[in-house]
Amino acid sequence: MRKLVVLLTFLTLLIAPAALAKDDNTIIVGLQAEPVTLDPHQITDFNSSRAAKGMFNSLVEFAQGSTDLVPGLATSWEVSDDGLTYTFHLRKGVKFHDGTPFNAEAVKFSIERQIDPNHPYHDTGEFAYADFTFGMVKEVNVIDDYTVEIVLKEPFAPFLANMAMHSASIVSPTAVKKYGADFSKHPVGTGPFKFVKWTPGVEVIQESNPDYWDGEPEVKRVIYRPVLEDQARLAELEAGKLDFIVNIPPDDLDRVKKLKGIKVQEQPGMHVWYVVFNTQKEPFNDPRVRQAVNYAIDKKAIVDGILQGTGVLAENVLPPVVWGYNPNVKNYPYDPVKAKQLLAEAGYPNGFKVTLWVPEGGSGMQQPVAMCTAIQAYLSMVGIQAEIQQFEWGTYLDKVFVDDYESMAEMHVMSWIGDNGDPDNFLYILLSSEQWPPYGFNEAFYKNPEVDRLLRQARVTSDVVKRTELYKKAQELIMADAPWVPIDHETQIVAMDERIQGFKLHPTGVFRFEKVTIKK
Amino acid sequence: MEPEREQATGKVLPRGRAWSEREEKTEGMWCPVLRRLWKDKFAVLGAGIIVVIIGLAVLAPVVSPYDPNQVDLLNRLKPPGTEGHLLGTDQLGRDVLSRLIWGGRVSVAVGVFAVLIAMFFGVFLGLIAGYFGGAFDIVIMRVIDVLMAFPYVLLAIAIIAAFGPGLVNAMIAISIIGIPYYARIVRGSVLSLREKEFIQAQHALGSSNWRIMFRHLLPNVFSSVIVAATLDVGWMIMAAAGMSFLGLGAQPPTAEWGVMLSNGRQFIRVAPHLSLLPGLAIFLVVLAFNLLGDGLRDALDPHLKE
Repeated sequence: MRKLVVLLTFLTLLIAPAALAKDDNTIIVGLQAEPVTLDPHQITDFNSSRAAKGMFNSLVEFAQGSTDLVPGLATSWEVSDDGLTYTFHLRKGVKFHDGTPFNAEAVKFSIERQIDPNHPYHDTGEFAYADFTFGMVKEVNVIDDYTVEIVLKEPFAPFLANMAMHSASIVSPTAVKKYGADFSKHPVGTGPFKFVKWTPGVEVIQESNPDYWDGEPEVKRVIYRPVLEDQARLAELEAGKLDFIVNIPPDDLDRVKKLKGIKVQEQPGMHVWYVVFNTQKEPFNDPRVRQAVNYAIDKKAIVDGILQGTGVLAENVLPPVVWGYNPNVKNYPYDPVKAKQLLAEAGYPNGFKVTLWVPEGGSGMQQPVAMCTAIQAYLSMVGIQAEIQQFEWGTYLDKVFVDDYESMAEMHVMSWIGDNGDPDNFLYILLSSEQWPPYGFNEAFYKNPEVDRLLRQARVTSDVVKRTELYKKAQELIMADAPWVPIDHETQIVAMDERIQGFKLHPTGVFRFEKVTIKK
Repeated sequence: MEPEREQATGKVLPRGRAWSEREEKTEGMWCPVLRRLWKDKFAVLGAGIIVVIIGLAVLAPVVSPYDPNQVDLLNRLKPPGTEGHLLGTDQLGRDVLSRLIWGGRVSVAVGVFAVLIAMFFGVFLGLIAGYFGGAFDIVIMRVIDVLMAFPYVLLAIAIIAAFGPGLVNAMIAISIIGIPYYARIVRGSVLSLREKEFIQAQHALGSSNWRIMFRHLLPNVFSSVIVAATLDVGWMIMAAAGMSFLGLGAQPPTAEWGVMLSNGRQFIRVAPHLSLLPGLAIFLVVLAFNLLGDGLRDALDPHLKE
């Protein structure tokens, strides 16, 4: 008997290290950078939303692979005839990862924590998306444990889509009260994966939630690791140290597609990459100058050459995958002669000097330095001397999103990734004059009263056909005014171990592993 | 310390004669130095590389086959040996050879100017601190200590936050960081020199402090400063390339070795020459300045006299 114990102990020791190594039910994801926060209400960047998504649910969820809305923590909902009151019927028997029950109070807490400055837990974070997501909310009323009513100040068509965004995730009130501002490091939700551990700079570990209301995921552990260098991330996938990666360098894509044991998945992205003019300052307050720059840049060469087809040429400010897209709107073709002519008409026959701000990287920015160097070369051909200034991403955002009278920007580049699949989330937030920074993201300081009127009307109209018409008209006016040079819509590309089955890319760019299986 | 003693004997001579005699001495000092340097084959190799690189840099507009900023998006990432592009093309279809030549111009100029700026201020501060001593010494050397403890990238980020990114600002940042190196060398030598007879004699003759500092102390510390500066050029080129690598230095489309290396990193699998070639260029020029600096140090060291 004693011998047997010794033998067993010995065997256990032999097996133990193997068990600690990578097992078949784990997916290790290589992210572009470290998540900033795991509190879904505070997320503004891709790395955080990707690492946090699996731990949370919202009342309404996006379907797998699309922005169609399906029941989440609410099993059904009704909208009053005046479009002002939304009543949600909540799923029963759902528990947060800390064991506390999910109910109407948790919904009220999750929304009011963000929008009510007098809420006792409002100071537990900074909620950058609160105004966009819930700015129109007047009050949240608990009807009973499983019914909640949200009353709006005015009708707001994209409201349901907003309720599926990460900022609308339902968090455990008990955990927020327990951890305070540290909730961002101890996230507790109702999602398919539970938080285990976050070692900053190394990894975020999550494990499957056995009590998940939609069934326990087959994948038992998901680990998110920041690997900053694109080439290093790719090398780790090839070496088998990562199972799933983002941002494959465009020039490596062909080679990666041919690799054994690795598969590549692509999908047109809900994304746009664009050059922004400061339309309130000379010389770009003249639409002819903005059009001239549009004509001067060979956008197709940039997409085919630098991006190697990892994006599609933008014809419009709105990506074609978003409803309301106007296919009749066409981007300015490459025509340097026309560009020079327009510059001469505008009083700049010999061009001018301008500063072009460029970030070194950043989510959705693709290859900013290479793309801008090409843009700089095209501009020099029509006499515009663009001086490039590079900034680190955080500094860059701070410099770009300031009031118009403070802004030092002349020309810069930016990208936008849709949050909820609604055109409002592109056109209104990026181009309405009500959304000039710091309130929104219209850093072109573009203002066209007719466009403003159309976009506002589309927000308060609930009929999709009417909204589509309004948005189509707005796109025509915007492209004619040329506040931007839209360059491309990035294709979402991920590469993964080919044993990962059933993964679907989502237009919002987050990863969902709850329905994924791993072939043994 | 041979030359010092000889100078010290000049105290009984009229001022004018002492000066001209020292000039002869100085000239007389450099000839054997060059002769000894010539015997050091590594130093000669270093000097040779430097001459070639500076020659190419000066003649860049003539020898460079293409405009270094000419973009050709249809001919990207061509390997070395491609027809028309001896060293291939980069991610924007620009000729790598032309960019290396023009990049040498930028890198070497930045290295040399950064050293000159650092040397100017460092020598001046070192002279004052060493010669006057007391409160001057304490204040200057504590500031120098603070500078030494300051990481140059952090200082560069601060300067760039204030004045915007660019090569000139990066150069200013690395020159400021270079100041302590010279200040400390000069101060150390001056501390011992100022007690020597020939300096005491100048005091006795009523020479002004400035005259003593610049006419009598400076020439005697200059050989060690020259050695330090030669070794430092390599470091400065590396630092400038490092700053550009981080995006704090040269801005696109400027061809600069650090920038080229940084941009090439994205293509290391498909076009390794984009990062290897500028890396090699940095390596060569830094090595060359170090070989020359080492040779100069040996040649100037009186203890190694045969």
